[in-house]
Amino acid sequence: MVAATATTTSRRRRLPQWPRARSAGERLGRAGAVILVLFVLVAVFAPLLAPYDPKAQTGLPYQAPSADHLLGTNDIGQDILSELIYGTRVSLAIGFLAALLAIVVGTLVGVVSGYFGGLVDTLLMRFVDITLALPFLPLLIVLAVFLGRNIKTTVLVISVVIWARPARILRSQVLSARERGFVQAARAMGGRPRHLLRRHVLPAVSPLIIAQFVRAANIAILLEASLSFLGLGDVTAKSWGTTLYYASARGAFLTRAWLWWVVPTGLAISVVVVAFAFIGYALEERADPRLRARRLPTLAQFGGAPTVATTPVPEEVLDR
Amino acid sequence: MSTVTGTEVLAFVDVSKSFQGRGVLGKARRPAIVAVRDVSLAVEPGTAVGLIGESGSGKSTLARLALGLIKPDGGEVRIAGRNLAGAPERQWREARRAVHMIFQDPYDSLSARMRVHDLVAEPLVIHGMERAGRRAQILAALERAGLRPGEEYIDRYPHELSGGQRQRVALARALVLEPRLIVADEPTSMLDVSLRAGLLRTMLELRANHGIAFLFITHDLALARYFCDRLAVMFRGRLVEVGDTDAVVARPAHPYTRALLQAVRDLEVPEAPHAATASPAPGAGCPYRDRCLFTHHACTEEPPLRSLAPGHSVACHLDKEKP
Amino acid sequence: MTARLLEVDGLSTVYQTERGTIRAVQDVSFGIEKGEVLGIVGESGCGKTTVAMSLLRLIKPPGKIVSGSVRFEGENLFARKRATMREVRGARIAMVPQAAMHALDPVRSAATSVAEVILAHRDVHRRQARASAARLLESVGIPQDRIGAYPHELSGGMRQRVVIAMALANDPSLVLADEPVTGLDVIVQAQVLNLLSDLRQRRGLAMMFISHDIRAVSKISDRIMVMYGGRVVEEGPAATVVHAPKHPYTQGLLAAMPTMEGPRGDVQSIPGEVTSGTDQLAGCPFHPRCPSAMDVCGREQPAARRVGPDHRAACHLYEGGR
Repeated sequence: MVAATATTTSRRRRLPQWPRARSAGERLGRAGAVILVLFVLVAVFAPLLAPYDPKAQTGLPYQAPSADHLLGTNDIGQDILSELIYGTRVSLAIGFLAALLAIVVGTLVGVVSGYFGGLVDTLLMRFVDITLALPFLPLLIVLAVFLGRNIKTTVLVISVVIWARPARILRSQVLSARERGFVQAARAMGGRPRHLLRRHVLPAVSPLIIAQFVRAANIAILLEASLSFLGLGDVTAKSWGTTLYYASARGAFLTRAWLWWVVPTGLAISVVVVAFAFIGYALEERADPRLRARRLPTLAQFGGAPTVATTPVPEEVLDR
Repeated sequence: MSTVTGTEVLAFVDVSKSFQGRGVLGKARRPAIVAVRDVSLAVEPGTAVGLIGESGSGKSTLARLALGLIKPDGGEVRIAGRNLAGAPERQWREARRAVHMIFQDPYDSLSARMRVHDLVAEPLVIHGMERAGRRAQILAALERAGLRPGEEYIDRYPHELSGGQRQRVALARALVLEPRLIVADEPTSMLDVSLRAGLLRTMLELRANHGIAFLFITHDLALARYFCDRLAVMFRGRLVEVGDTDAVVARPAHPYTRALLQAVRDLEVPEAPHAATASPAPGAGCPYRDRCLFTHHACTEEPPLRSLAPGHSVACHLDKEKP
Repeated sequence: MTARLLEVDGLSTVYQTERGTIRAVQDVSFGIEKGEVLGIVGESGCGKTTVAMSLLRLIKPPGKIVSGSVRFEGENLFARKRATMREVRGARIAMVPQAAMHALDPVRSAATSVAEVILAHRDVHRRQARASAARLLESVGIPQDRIGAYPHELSGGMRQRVVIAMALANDPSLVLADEPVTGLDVIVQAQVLNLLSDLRQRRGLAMMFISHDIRAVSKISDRIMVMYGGRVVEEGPAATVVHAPKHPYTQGLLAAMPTMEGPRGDVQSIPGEVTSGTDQLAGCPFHPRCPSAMDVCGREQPAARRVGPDHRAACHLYEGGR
């Protein structure tokens, strides 16, 4: 619908490229996404990337980094680099699964509570409040000890702790979405709750669900690392947290070994967390119009006039 | 009082509705807000009744009662002769094929994620109409709403349309099931002035060519005069005057109606200083008495709606006087 | 010739968007005398709010004032250092922005809100400011026992009066009122208009009254300026513009409004959609919808021409002694 425009500017049309990021937040988000994708690729292609099987004893224990073992060996003689690479799989998997479970439950609770209100809302929200009031690290520890230490329980324990906050946030969003004109209109047309939820309310809150998922994944990965570091995760699994657990337990902090045993793994955790944070930042900026102040507005935000050809303003009028 | 004859598309009979302020455990804490009290009003097929009132007059509540979105505390709400007050949701859903609503805000009443096609199709989807022939129905509705040719609009998103066009999409959505009554809640107040008349002209055509009745809620008296056959003036939940448009405008009987007309015509406002807040005057008696310039002792008793002339009723103790 | 209180010359303001540049205000020139009320009428996208914001240099990126000058009390406001504009705003030129009554600080009472405006510009004791605030609120019709009320305890009309009091707090010589009665009930609208008229007389205030409602504007303005698509299309004495408009847009606008007198069905709509700054058309912005459009209208932007005593219209119909 936009006719070709004859420009008086000297800007040439380059090869098709990604649309220009509209703000600093969006640039951060893209950086975060790229980093995360890299980590996911490492996790997927771990067998190809890791020099050794991390469970195999491939060298003498407590070796410093060398040509054979770029990050040295741990207390049993397993290659730390391979541990790190394979650990990506476990940590990311646990993080994503726990976040997924938490978000599914949180969304259900939040939407049901927000949409139907009444007694259901009151009860569910009391439950949420109680969960939120409990300090999560002690809760985490108690549950882990109680339920045993394996990957399944780790996922479960983490999601039990982090589902409540998204539930509350989504409930508020559903409460306001419910009052939107188009939802009222659909009600006035005779729409059943199922129709309204599926067609209008859920789509309206889906950006928030995604943003909350990113946040949850972030927290879950950190919690997994914490749990495993405390020895409450599955100590036979090779995750970043267990690597740190053994490092700490075997005194790596007391010798120079922390440089290659602790730092790379710690760095990996930090970088993933920051990557998630960047993505979350960009998503929140997108969802919250108030944070959009710095972005170039789209045409739609100026009232949505029908699309008409625009002739650009000559350069000299806009003094940069 | 308009006698209910049974031919009306919509009729309110002594309808009342209050809202309770809610306390901590759901128990009523704050005093109830009386939104609508003992209102009786009928809309004949193919006619337009204008509902005039300021904020807090109860006109929006009445609109929602007409669609069954809220249940009345008392009285009857009759759609095509059938009383649906307190009826189960299932019966209301059936009734909502004949009664539709268009809202004030064209930017909010259409979901930004749906194309015009899906927006207009929604009533068809909700009522389980068969898929075949849907597109034709949608195009027909768009054209009747003034969006011609329909094909040019059917695949667009709301943000590609102007406010006036969006309101027409909302109108098309209300028309697709061929309703008998459309409740229009301030449909033009958020549109540019030069576009208002166009939308109203379309609605007038719908009345004339398709026999669709309208309950037209507005605060703009001039618009109501242009569009409506009859005017119903509400004040703080009660119907204070109702009659044919020409009669009400030429010979307004209630002091509030007179004040409204004066305010629209020129700057003279024949009213006592305004009560400071919008809270309703408690107690019995005429709801207008704290702003009325003509109060006398009888006004401590609420005046009933009395017939002044055929088709023109007013609720005022002064109805014997000529304005 | 005595200089006018406000003199705007060739003002142009644009907004940068993804799709191109929106020319919100194009080459707008007008003036306001001391104590005069100028009504600016137009629909969405005509640029009237942008004009007011530009005067006070409140335009932020992606908006930008690209040309023009504004002389207020003889001084060029655009030549001032940006930071010093704060001395002008709220003190010498006051603004009542759109939907101001919804933007009142919910945790401040009416009296406090007004007192804060006084304290922001004058070095007085808090108690003095409160006393002045009480007097001001009384002068706008809020009884003394309500000045301590919070916004949510006040009706729409009362809130608008508070906003007006805030604008008058520092005795400005010019008030920019953007849609000051829109959204209020009909009777309250009339009351607020009465109030504004009254205040203007008592204080010798000059006002710029911006609205889409030409009826409200005509009741209080001495002169009316009609804007469309970012440009001024007509300007003249209020009574003349309303009863004998010369520009086809003004004529169309008046014909599109239902009235209380006259035949009921006598309402014409203007075909097409309202032009906004996003449509960069050559020639007159109104020509696609104009019933009297000629060839030249699509090519050349018409200059403002004199069509009566003190009455100008920018239309090719009035080219040279018609």
